[in-house]
Amino acid sequence: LIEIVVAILVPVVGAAIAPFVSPRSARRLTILIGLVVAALGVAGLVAGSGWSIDVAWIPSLGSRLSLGSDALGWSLVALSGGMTAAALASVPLRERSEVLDALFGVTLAGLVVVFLARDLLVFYVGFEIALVPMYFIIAGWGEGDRTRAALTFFLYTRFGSLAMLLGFVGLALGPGSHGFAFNAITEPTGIVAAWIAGGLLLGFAVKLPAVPMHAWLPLAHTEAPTEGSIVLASLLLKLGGFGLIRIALGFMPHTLAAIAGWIIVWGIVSALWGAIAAYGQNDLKRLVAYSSINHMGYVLVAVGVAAASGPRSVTAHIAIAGAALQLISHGVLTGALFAVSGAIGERYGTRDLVQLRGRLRRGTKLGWWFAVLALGSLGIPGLSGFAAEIQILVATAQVSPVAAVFVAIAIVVTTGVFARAIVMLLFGPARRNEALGPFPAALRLALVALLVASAALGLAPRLLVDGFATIRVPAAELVTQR
Amino acid sequence: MWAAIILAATAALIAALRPRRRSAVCAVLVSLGAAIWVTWSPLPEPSYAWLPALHLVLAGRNDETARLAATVVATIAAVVAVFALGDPETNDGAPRFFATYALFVGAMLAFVSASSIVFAYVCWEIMGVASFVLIGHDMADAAAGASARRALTATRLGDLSVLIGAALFAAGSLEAGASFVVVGAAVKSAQLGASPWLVGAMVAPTPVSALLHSATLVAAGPYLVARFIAFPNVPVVAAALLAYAAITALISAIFAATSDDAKRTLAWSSIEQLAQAFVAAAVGMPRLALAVLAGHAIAKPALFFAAGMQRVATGTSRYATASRAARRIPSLVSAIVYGAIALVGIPPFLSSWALAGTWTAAGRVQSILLFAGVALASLGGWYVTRFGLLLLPSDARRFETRRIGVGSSIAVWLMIAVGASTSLTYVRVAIDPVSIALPLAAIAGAAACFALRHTALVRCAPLIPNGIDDWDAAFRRTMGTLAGFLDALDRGVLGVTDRLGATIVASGRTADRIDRAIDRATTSGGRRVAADGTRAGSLVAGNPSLYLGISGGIFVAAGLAALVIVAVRKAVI
Repeated sequence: LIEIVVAILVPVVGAAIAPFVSPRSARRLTILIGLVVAALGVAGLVAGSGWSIDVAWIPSLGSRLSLGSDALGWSLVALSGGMTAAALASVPLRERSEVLDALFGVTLAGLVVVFLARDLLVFYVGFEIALVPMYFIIAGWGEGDRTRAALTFFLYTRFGSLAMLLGFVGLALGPGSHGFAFNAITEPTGIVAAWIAGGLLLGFAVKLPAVPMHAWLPLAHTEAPTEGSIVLASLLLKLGGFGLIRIALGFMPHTLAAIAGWIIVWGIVSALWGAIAAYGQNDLKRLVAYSSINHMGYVLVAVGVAAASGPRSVTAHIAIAGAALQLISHGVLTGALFAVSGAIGERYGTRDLVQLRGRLRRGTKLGWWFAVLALGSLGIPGLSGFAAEIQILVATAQVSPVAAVFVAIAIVVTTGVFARAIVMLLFGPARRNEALGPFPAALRLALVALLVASAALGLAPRLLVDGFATIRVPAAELVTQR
Repeated sequence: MWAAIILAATAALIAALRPRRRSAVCAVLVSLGAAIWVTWSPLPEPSYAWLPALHLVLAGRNDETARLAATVVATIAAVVAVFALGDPETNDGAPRFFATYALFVGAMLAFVSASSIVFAYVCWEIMGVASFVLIGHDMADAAAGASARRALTATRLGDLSVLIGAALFAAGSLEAGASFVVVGAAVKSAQLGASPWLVGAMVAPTPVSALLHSATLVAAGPYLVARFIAFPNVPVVAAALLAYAAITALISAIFAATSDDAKRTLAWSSIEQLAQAFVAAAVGMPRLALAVLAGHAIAKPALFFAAGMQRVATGTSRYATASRAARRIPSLVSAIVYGAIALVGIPPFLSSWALAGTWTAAGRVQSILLFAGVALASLGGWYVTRFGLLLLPSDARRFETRRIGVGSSIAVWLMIAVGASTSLTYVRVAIDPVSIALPLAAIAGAAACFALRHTALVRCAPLIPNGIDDWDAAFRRTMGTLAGFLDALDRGVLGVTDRLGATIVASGRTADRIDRAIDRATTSGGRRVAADGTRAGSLVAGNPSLYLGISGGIFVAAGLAALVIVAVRKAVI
């Protein structure tokens, strides 16, 4: 009980304090808060399937203030705390950064609520709390066309949330259900189920994002401040994947099974779209943003595979574990890639690959960092991306070899994308050393920590995967089986 | 497995300490010696359950095949490391080169002893990334980067095909699984249709070509299928592979015979030799396949050494740039002579009985294949002779020898010693028509080439233009166009939200204007109220910290209230 309350209240209190202290103290405070939440998440992963809160909230709606989770939720809580800290540590202080830090604190609190929710209304409230500050972050501290990016983000998010909320209401009011609490919901059937599943998939697909609801992402990522890009990619995208696994697959496995083939095709289209579009990008941030769409496409494929093979089959376990690990791995590696891309942009005054051609070989280690992280992101053994993608690919091959071939093609195109970026950054005739600012110690520390985390998960994926084998599908078991 | 761990530790050590080149080579040699020792020692194999759900357990199966293969790999790697010591191409960035080199060899040693296809796949991925770094060693050369990128992408396609095959095997579909594994292995071994990545990778430093593109990386394809696929159980796949490999061998031998570049000749020759190993595997003779690979592994590096020395001396590996003086370098001449004889299967070298056995077995399946074997032998004799003649021409002018390090020469002699001792250890004397016909055909091919050395037939233009290196140009163009199209589409879609946003803002302004008008009209003191409202609004807008402070306070209050509620509930219940 107290652990969950602390995990939610610490960022809230931090966000309330941050605006009134100096920027430097606010930054330190928020990083500390992130680390505390991360530690609680890890503790929850180890011991926390018994931690829960369950009190009546809105009895008339059958909604309970019910929080508590399995390995999936707690690992994402750990990711949220850790990536918030890493994002803030890896960038310099900005104007009014104490307010910025407060906004990140609010987002963190919302994320913790979502990942631990055992009630659809609680989930929804957390979802909104997590998303709203990002509008201000982009609009207030972004670059270039930030107002437009923020507004686009806001509109897409609104429509996604609306579809999702309608789906929630449908689930809670459906025949057999008697409220919003997870254990009060039974899967509807027939045409109602189709509408509800449509709403849920639409809502989560906007956040994931899946083609064709993804157009906001490259814009938001390029215009957001670097720390905003990191949190957006590492954490807010996870809302989509988490919702797909926990809510869509968790409450509507039979409905999803009926359309599993289409979900797999959807995921493949998304993965290929992201990979191919990334191939043509010269802006580093935009390239990484499209690669995110590609990586999240695999999650959608995995959800389809799990639905197709029946939620209790071995294949489904592999697919879900792969998708969950992909969420974590993408959070760590892509966050780090954004940190590096942002730092490159700040030092060289451009993030354009053509202008950067060959310039990163000497003078700074940032190019090498990008290379290592990109190799991890394209899935070399030893880092976490590999452990995630191999599980998704194997599970897919067992359901449909043709789908697996397409997933493999998407992975190969992603390989080409990152290989191209690495070669453009590091290869070419030597130039004179450019006078550049120092490599900040905090950024280096954050990158090392993220790389170590990714390597730990890559070398010993069982740290998480063993726990992921017990992910509750249906999610109602989260409440009934403590 | 222990051998792989030793090499990986060496790689980490070199990367951390960044020693001079000589020390790095010493470290590699010592660890390779240790690797051979632990391979033959009765140490229990370590085992690590990486992803048990996928049966991905890192465990070795250190049977005799694996031990022999590991010994060959480690020995060749040691000889090539000695060569690298004298090769100026590895001078810059030596720590990076040798750390990656050790990592690569470690992955290869793990590969040969891998106990499952999935584990072998993992090792293959690591080898692929290591080869990306090694091929792109000369980072000042943008062409090296492009070749490295192509090699990584192409081999990754092969890797993933193998992984899908392994997954299908696990799911119980034998034929489909075998097909995917065979396709993946063929791509990794640069068989016909996937050859250009290997030919393009010849920009790599010579040690990389000598190790990766003859004895190890590309040889892993036949090794994998020979070790893990029981072809008698999948006759359709076996027949398809047999036909494909035979055709690949013939065509690549012809390309080797017409190339205008020493290293490219050797690349096509590697493809041909690997295809013969695939033939042996496809006819159900896995041990012969391994013998073909071993015979190739002890011969081809010597030829690569020769081509590398020529490239160092003249700056290009194109033929007809060297000179008469090259004949005065004993190690260069010896490398060519030894490599040529050992490669084409003249007794007593390993290739002779391996190739004879392969084509005998293939002839039993389909007698026409015997002719393919004879044709390949004579083509082989032709192109190695041509290689030697063009590399040591009698009509050119200048040859600088000073840049070739002594390590390179030592490596040649070591290579010859290794080849000779291996062949003498495993020598088989067989008196059957094929065993006699193949060497005779090779000698006939060599004699024909020598006799026609001044004709256009020997000095012909390459059948495969060197522009093939940029084989993925069309692919990249398509991707670029497609990417531009998708990007434009994504940007265009945003027009909808832009319009929507503008509409919302505009309607908000209108509503605000209407409200103010109503306010002014209905309230007598409306003017003052409106002014106050504006002031409060601007206060919040101009001071986000105040706004956030208020919001934060509300959050804290809510949180505290929740706590109180929880506590009260607890107390009541």
